[in-house]
Amino acid sequence: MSAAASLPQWQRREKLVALLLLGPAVLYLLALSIYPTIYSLWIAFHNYSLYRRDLVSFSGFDNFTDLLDSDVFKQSFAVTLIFAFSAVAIELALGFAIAVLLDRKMRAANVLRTLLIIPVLISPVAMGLTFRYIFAPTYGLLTYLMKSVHLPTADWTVSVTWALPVVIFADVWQWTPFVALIVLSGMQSVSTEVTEAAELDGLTEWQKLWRIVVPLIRPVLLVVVLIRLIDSIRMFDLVYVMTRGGPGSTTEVLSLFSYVTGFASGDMGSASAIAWVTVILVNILVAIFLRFLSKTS
Amino acid sequence: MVGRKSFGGSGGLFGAPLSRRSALKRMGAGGLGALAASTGLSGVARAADAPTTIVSWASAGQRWEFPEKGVLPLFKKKFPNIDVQIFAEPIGDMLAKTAVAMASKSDRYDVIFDDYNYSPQFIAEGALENLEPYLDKDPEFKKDILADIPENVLDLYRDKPAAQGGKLYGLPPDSNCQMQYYRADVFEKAGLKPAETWEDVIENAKELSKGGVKVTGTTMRRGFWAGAAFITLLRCHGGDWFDKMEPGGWKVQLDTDEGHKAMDVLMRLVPYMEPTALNASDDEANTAMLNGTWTYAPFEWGGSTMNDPQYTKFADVWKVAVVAKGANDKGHHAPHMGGLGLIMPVYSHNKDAAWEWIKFCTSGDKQDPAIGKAWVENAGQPARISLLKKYTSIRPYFAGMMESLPVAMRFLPIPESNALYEIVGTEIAAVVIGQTQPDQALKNMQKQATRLMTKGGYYKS
Repeated sequence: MSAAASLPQWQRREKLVALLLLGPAVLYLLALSIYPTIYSLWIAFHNYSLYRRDLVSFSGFDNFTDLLDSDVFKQSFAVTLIFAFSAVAIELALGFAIAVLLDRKMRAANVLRTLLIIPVLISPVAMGLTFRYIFAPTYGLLTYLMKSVHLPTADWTVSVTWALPVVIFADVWQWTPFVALIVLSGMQSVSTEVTEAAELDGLTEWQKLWRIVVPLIRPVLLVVVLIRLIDSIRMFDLVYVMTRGGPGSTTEVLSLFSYVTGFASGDMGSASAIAWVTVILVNILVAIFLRFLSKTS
Repeated sequence: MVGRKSFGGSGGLFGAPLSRRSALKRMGAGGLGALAASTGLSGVARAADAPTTIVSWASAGQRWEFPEKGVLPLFKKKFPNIDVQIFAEPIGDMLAKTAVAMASKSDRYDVIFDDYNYSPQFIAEGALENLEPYLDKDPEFKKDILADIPENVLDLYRDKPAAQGGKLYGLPPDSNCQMQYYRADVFEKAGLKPAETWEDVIENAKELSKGGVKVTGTTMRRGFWAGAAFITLLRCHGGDWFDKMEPGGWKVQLDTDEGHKAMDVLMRLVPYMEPTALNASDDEANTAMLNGTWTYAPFEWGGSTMNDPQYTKFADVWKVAVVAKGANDKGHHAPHMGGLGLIMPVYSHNKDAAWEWIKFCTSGDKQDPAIGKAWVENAGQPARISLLKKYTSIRPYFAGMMESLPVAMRFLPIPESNALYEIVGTEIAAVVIGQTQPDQALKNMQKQATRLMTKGGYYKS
């Protein structure tokens, strides 16, 4: 007698109900997550043009190898890495400093923490538009303010030198509070017995921070850096709204390059290949960080 | 039973104790039932509703969204049973999104006010409704529109030219071409005249920047915008995309003498361009011209707000001339033809209502003089010659447009058009910011364009 047949009827009914209730969620995942992922991998290995679908053909690894010849891809790859590592490094430094400042008994600490989280709640599109007009070269707010006090200005969002730093600034402004709050929660989870013992041993505040607290919250720091790195590598909306990847392709991150390649040029094969390169990059970073994390544990 | 918790004490909803599992099962069934019921009810509600709702997707602002909204009250009076929802987005965002929508067979939009540059690929995809059967049902309207809109403008929305039996897949309530925009007050003060050749353009731009502030601009954003700018320069110097656009031809002609001349002019002009130009699409260009940041735009797309006092205090002083020609022997005036037309996706479920909207927007004075008036007064830029002539008094630049349209040259009538302009525009944007050398950029665009045409099968014998 089969295993299924040997189950009492009420258990078979329970299983059926469970399947029916799980069904919509599984179908949703299959349709909107798993199928598109597999399909995009298929497209990445084909010449697939949006406007010439009569010419779709298998191309092997051509879409990937062609990227190596593309100056714009190399530029995008470099811009993505520079953006991600710069933004995350600044967010970590500033966020840690803010967390240290907040990790003490003070009046209105809760109010401060609530106010701190506001940038994270703002839509990146709204924030990007605001910063775009602040940093507009000729008629932006920053240019106006600097000129009114006779300070030299720059072309900000249309400057080859300044466009990327400006985008990094906007990202840091939005996500530093998130990093600060995660690090703060890590600090506050450190046992007071440990810190009191350190005080009794005569350690200064600075020594306590670096020799006791930081090593104990290292897993928290690694996790928050990993989360921010993944988000930064995948970032699209902020760059799209602020600079559209310009001037030229100075701020064109991989996700935006993939979008332009796919939907402006119609080359979905290359666009999918770029997307998968991004996936591989993120996975390599995750693997490295998880290794660090397990060593720390 | 072991492991089962009961709710309701001695009596649940139906008298017997309700176990947690039973409660969850009933909640799940209830949720699914509610979902099914709401879908059914809304279906019944839709059947009972009289009006048809169509969605008209347009680029935001002047020439497209505003004139549609301007004629909408008149349309509602004539067609009370058709509700038109106008959905607008900035043109820099919208155009690429229309390609996505058509590729994904979206049925969300019944009418799209789209750039003709996308028509060849949409027609090739089979995404557009052929409008000839609708036109044939109203022979008077058809006769009027064929007579009042220039054939080279209508051909932009045909699968092939009318002379070769092409069919219309869109109707244009809007026409456009690049023009040489200049502020008459600024030019007069500087003792300048509109340029006849591109050397004159560079001299004008140089002179205007002598005060230390650069005021010349055009749309140089990477991709389509910068691509169109360069191709205009190429054509003005006697060059073009291909040797000939027919079987046996299609040889890319970018890295040629004319290409080098065009690149040379561009590189001598760029130092005098206002910084915003380097990353500008139409949205940024129009803003810069309206707020006075730019006072000279030697090859800029038509903007109906330039002469409208509700949008700019410089409405009386913005003038136009035809785009300059190359200073070489082959030089001629060759602005790009622009323009957006109303197309109907085949995926629309409200085609008859959509056709009424398209016909209304393109009727000009045919159905009611108020329509043409509302269209123009709400920042429209008509394709009908009758409207261009009639409203020159309130839009002086219409006269310049009528002069430029006959010499304007269209984007490529092949599905690869957008991709080709992206290739050129990417290289041009890299050159103007110093990332690539001009000669290398010409080689790169020649190579990439040739590869694209090869993939498209244009060189097969």
